[in-house]
Amino acid sequence: MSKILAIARITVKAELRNKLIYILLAIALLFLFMARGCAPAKINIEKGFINADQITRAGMLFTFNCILFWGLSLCGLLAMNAIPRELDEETIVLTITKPVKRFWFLAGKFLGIFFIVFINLIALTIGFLLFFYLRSGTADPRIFAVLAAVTPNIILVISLVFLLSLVLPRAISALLTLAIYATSLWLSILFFFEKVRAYWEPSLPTQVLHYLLPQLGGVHLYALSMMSDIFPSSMGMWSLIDITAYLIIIWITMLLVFQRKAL
Amino acid sequence: MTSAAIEAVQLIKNYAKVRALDNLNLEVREGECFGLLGPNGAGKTTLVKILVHLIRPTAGTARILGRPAADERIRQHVGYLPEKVKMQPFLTGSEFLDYQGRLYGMDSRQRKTSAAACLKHVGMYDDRDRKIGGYSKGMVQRLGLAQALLNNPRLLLLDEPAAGLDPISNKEMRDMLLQLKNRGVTIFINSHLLSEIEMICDRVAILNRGKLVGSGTKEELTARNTSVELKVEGISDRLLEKIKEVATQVTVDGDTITLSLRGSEPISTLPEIIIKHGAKLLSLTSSAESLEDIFYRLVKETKAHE
Repeated sequence: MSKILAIARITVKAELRNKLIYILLAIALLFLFMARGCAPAKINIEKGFINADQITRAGMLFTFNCILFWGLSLCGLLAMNAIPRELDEETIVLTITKPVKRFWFLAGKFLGIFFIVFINLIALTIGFLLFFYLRSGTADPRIFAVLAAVTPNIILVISLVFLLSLVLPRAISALLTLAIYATSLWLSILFFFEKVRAYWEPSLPTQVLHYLLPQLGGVHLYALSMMSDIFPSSMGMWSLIDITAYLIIIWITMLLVFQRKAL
Repeated sequence: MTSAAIEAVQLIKNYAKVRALDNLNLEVREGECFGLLGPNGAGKTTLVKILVHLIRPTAGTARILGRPAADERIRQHVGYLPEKVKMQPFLTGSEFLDYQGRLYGMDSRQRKTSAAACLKHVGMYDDRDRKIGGYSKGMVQRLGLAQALLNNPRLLLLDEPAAGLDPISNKEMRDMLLQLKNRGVTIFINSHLLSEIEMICDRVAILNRGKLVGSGTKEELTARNTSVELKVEGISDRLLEKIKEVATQVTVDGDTITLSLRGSEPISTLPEIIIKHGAKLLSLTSSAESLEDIFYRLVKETKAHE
């Protein structure tokens, strides 16, 4: 474990020198500022159908999804470079020729990236809650439960980008993963909301695609259901099992590809 | 009987269009300093990469200190200096060695003492807190050697260790390797610099186009061949044909015939052959072949056979 942590530490050090992180952080701060606009203080609700509490939640969910989107972009950007850069710059050689299993190298890189993404998401969520509280006098701490519930998705996104970056150009590996996430989320919205299904009957190819793709959307909606009743929670367990199965397959495949890779 | 530190049995490595190693059999004994010579593209680096499991062989087996090269546990006792030493430029010299020490599973105290000793050993102690990105090529090479020595290895694999070193650093590196050799460390040097190998190594192997074309101690290799220079008056084609029957390589320049003989015995037959063919022997000088001569000849011979 200490060897995995050593590789994770070096990964964090290397990634913190990546200017792209700071550009993304600036964008994320912009999102945080948006939280002010989402707060209900100035919204006139007297003639509306929704109450102040619902507006607060909607504002929180919107901003939280923005933060999550930022976190996923960060996952893609960091993960797509993590292994290819070590291979291109050949810095991997003096790591892998030590008494280190190749799996430990992958695990160390993964932990490093996951640590940066997760710390960033937690920091932004705390900042967001603080902004929200100062503006509206209310903040829902259940947002941390949502963050915890969506963690399997973050793990899967990093893992999938890792795997794809071993066989595809790095930018494509990140874009493809984010496209899979977006597709899965979109299909999940269509499948999980009964009101939507009343107007739309999914075709067979759509159904096949929905069941073939990892249930990232299912987990996403399940996480959001912890804060709002409008999101379905019924498929949460199934989606989590699906994501776990995908994670096992991805890591076994990644290991097989990486074990055979000439360095 | 000394055991094998490195054992390659019928090792084959194919790349897309090239066979880099062709049924290579090699044994390096524990405690010896072994030099692998070969022209560029001979397969030297491929062999070392297989030994540290950076690449897999297509066929055959490679063993290090009695265990398969793929077993990462054996690398606890191996130090490796690659041909191109690449390190994280944002780390300082001591941070890098600390990282490498962690990969060896050393505790904090071990890492500190071992890193300090290795940095002193390679003359980098005063530069330990500078970023690697600001190091010269020679300094990077020295730090590379320091990381290879960090775990007090039983086997040291050095791929072109003199690359990028100035003559002074080169001599210092050589002296360091001699010290390690005296301490009983098995050293495997992969180089195309003959002088390096000649000065340090006990045994030498010559690799060309993935095949082992010669191996042994320097004395064994040189004793096998004698270089002879004859000054002869009245050289005829028949005389040259007769000489070619006993010699491996014959070149003629005016009245001078230069040839290589397997061993030194056939020298005594040369004057007789010359006189028999009606020529006059003016002088005969013989010398054992240098490593450079052997290297050059063996590589040429392989090319000629192909």
